Amino acid sequence: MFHRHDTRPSRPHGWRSSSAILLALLALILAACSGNTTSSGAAASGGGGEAGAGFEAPTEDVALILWNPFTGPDGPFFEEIVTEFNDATPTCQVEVATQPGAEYIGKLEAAATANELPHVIAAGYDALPGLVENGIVAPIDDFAAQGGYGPELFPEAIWNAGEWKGQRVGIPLDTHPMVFFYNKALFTEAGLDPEAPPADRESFEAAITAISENTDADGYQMVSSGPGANFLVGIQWASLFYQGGGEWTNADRTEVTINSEAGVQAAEYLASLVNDLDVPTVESDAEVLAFAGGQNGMVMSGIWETTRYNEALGEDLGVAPVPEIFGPGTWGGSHNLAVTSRGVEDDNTKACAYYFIDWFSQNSLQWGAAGQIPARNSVRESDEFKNASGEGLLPFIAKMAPLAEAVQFLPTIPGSGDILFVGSGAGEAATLVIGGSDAQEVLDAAAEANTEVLVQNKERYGF
Amino acid sequence: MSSLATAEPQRTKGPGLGSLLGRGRKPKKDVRRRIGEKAFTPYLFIAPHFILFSVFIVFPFFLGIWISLHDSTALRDGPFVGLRWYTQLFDPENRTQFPRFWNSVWNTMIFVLISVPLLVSAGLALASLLNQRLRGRNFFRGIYFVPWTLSVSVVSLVWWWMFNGNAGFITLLLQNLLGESPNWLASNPGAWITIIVATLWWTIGFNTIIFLAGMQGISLDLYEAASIDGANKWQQFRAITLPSLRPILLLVVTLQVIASFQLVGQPQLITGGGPPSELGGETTSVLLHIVNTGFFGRRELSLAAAMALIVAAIMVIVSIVNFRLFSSERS
Repeated sequence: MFHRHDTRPSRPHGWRSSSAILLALLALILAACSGNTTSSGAAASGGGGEAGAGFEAPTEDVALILWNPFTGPDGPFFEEIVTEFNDATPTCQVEVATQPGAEYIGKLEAAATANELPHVIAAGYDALPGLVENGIVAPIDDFAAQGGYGPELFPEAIWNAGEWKGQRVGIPLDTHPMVFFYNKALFTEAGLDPEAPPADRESFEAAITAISENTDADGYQMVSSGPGANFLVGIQWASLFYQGGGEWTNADRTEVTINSEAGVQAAEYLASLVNDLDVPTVESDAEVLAFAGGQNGMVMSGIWETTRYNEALGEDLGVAPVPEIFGPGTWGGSHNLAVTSRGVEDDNTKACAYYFIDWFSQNSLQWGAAGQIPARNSVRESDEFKNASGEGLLPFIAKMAPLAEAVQFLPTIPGSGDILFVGSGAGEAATLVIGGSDAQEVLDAAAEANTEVLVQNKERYGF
Repeated sequence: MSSLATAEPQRTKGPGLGSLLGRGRKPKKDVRRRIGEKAFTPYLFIAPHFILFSVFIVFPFFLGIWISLHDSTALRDGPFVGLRWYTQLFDPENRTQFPRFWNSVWNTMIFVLISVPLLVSAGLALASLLNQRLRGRNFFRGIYFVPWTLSVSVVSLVWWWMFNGNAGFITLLLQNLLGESPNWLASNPGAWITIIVATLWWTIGFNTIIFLAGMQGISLDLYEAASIDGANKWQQFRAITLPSLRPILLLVVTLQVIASFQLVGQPQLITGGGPPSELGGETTSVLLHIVNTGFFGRRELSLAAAMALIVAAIMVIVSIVNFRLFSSERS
């Protein structure tokens, strides 16, 4: 059900998988009740044919192994695209193996020691520097040069996230930002305009009050505990942090600066929703279930929750960009396709890997139907994407596509995701502030702890 | 010269260090062997276990020490960093590792102190009940043992469903009966109660079975004699059952202390180590902290190895104290 894998290295996998089973059951029940199934991949992507792509399929037969962490509903979409590719290119055949997200890096390391690395991997941008430093992922500057890949083909932030030490290490596939979901039926019941989702602080707070007072549901719910708290609070905090102009580190990457004014303001705002607007505190993922069950009017979740919400709420589901509480800015992750050291070992394999990545990038429209925003500009700007309709996720994703330009990322350095998600990170600090701790105090401590780690990593990896 | 003079009287007291090291008296050569038995035969008998023990215990132990002195990842040894990780863990000035590690050790201690007496006494009580002649005795013995065969993920999931704040069975039950329910997993003592109840339900069967086996080894004559002398059930329990069970009790307490120290799955799956605290979670056990440090997030393998060795040292001390306690009682 989830695929927060790449960005959420800290969450224990066991809890995740067990709860995923539960949620899968729940989703099954809900799907059975509503009686409609989403049509998967009705719109086949029409080949790329974009100028500047100078790749050719290898002349000899090559069999590639590709690993991805897509254990959620997006997995089958990925495989469908690969099947299409395999049918089109008999000399370059790709076999997909999906690995559980939480163990992804560990499995890659184990495969590296056993000399059994896959040739191509899909991974979160923040995992790439560590993988490069461990010799698992190979830099592919020649790919970018040969194919004319550069910031013109992608939103700049997304493109830049795939760069480490001045080298190109990943080709962006998608972005998965946090988005704002609301229940249109509850909006109507509360006397709000269901077609005008809140876009700023004032309207957001007004909507919370209106829904809480005029319906049986909560206007909003704030996570304050549970196994997923660091992550779920973390992405909300990060969005507000970006909105306030926050920077993760200083310019020369020697100090973590999450305790800046923007950081404190973000944490205090989340706490103020609880203290001033009587937003109830809940365990992690309870807010997600409550929203799907119609007992929570608004929720800010990763875009990957669209599937579940769509199945549960149908036409009542409204989506919009995250309200601009302090200004524009949204947390997001981004999957990249990368080539491993084994993938560049000989020219034929490399040719096949490059050809595949280029093909996949051009044909990533279908990946939008999996619930992620395609990274490539030409795909997002295509009429097929913009005018998407029907029951699948594509219409929702198309609606949220402008977020691809607004989404911001952590610095692409080893361990950057930990500044937000791991114990003693910003997500945990924000959770503590919601629980009543002093924002400046806990963020100071978190910044200090993360600076220790940053300095250590700087020494280790030399950046 | 003087050292020799002082060493001499010691030897007369018994087999001193000298004889243990092979000096002093010549070792006896007349080791008796059965016909056809070679000198290496005994070692062959030890070999299977010794090889497994070396591969899975001795080698990893020394490898752990090696890793803890380096800056290792899963793929490389990394540079030698001496006692850097130990310094971080023992330096009260350290804001990251020191407080979180010792917080997790403290959490584990709390769990050990609460769960061991509870699990041992409850196991003893259940065993006493199941040792009676009652109808369906075997059925109950089976019922109480069944949870022990489940995996920790199943157990945790079951109890997470019972206690979770959103739609937990117990939460909803209390809300319907009393109008409100504590948020079990989000605050203490609720979170610890949940974990302890889950652990009790899961592992009580093991202790019960061991105690039961011990009780069935006690001669019925003793009880008969006691009842003729007018001892009631409680007196019989105190004067016959408990003393006869002492070796079993030592075994169960030792195993239970070790098992409770190794708490990891329940907080990982039920509370995620929460409720959140500035020290990294109120139910984060030390093993969970090690797992999170070494294998998730920052993946600080060497730091985790250093933590593991410190925990190993703590457990050795606890086990020694445990044995001392019981052996002094015996004498």
